[in-house]
Amino acid sequence: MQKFSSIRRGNSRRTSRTKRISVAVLVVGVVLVLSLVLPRLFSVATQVFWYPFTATYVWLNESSGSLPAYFRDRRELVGQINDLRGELASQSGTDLTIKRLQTENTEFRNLIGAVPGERQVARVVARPPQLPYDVVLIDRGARQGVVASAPVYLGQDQLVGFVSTVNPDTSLVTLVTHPDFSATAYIMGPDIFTLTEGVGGGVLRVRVPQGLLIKQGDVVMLPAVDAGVYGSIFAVTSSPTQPEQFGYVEPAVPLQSLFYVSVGSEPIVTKSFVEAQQVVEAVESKLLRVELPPGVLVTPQSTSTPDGTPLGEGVTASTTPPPVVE
Amino acid sequence: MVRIMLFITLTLLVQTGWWWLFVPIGIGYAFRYTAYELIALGFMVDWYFGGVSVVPLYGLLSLMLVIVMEWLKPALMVYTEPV
Repeated sequence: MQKFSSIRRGNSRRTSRTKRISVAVLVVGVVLVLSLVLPRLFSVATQVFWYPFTATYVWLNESSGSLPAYFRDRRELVGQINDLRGELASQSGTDLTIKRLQTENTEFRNLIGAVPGERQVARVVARPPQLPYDVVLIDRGARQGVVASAPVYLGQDQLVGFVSTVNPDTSLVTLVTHPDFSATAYIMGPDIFTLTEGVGGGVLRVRVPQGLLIKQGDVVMLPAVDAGVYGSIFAVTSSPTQPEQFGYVEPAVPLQSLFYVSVGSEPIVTKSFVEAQQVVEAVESKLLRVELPPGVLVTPQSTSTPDGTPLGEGVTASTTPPPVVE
Repeated sequence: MVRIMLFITLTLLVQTGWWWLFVPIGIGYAFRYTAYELIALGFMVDWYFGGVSVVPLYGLLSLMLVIVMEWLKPALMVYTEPV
């Protein structure tokens, strides 16, 4: 009985659904026919059906009542807020662009002021990690007068590498921190000549025997080129059981911040020891000199008057030596 | 009551033109109920916005929606029934 009953119930459900669909289609067909026969009736009925909804919609959008006015004003104010936020975001982007351009302009001006006439400014177009090892690509090549083995500087006197490959419009610069690169270095502090080893990642390493005092902040020069100051030691590793100690040198500007360099016009020429020592002495003598604008530097010569009379309290421009008191 | 409120909401959505909201709610309404009133609403939309003489596309579309939902309901519904 149960089985028969369930089959009957299942069958009745299927019949009911089909019946419902059939009735719906039939009713729709009849309505469509009637709408063609009596269009006015259906038109009026449609308008009556839609009237409350249309009236509500018009009331919300156009009425001067407090509630619809509140909703409309709120919608308008929210739209204004979103527009202003968009304008603020674009303005911030514009301000950021302006600041970046100003910084770049300042860098350019500094570079132009610091670069001697025999050098040319080049922009770094690719650097590690886009390029393997410690090499950078600059946008100056043979057509712009770049020659192989020319020194490359950062600023006025910080040597960073040399031109290893010259293309028509670009050049590849091998940095002094290249793993296969070795150079003669002079460390101020212990005042010794030693060899450097490129470690990669913009870091140079100097190797000195145990017993010599090297410390953080010691300036490292590369006297193979004129004014070849590289950087200063930022870390020292020393083990008493080892015969040597290492000092790690990094440039003042990280590799990732290297945007503009200056390229020398003449290739690096290997110097003799005497010449290297002269370079060191020349750099040492003016290492702490700062280029000042005219009129800022005060010296006895700049404040002297023709007759040697005192200019102020405690200030005299006379050049005669004081008398010796016995 | 819920059915009436949903139907009124669907009609208001037609008035505002928010079709992106009307479609999912309408499909859910047709799935939950045997939504003959959706067919009527479809014809009302055609006759109000397009006139009585136009081909009632929305009405026929809603009719097809109801028919499809009636066929799909047994397959989509998960229910238990005592044997």
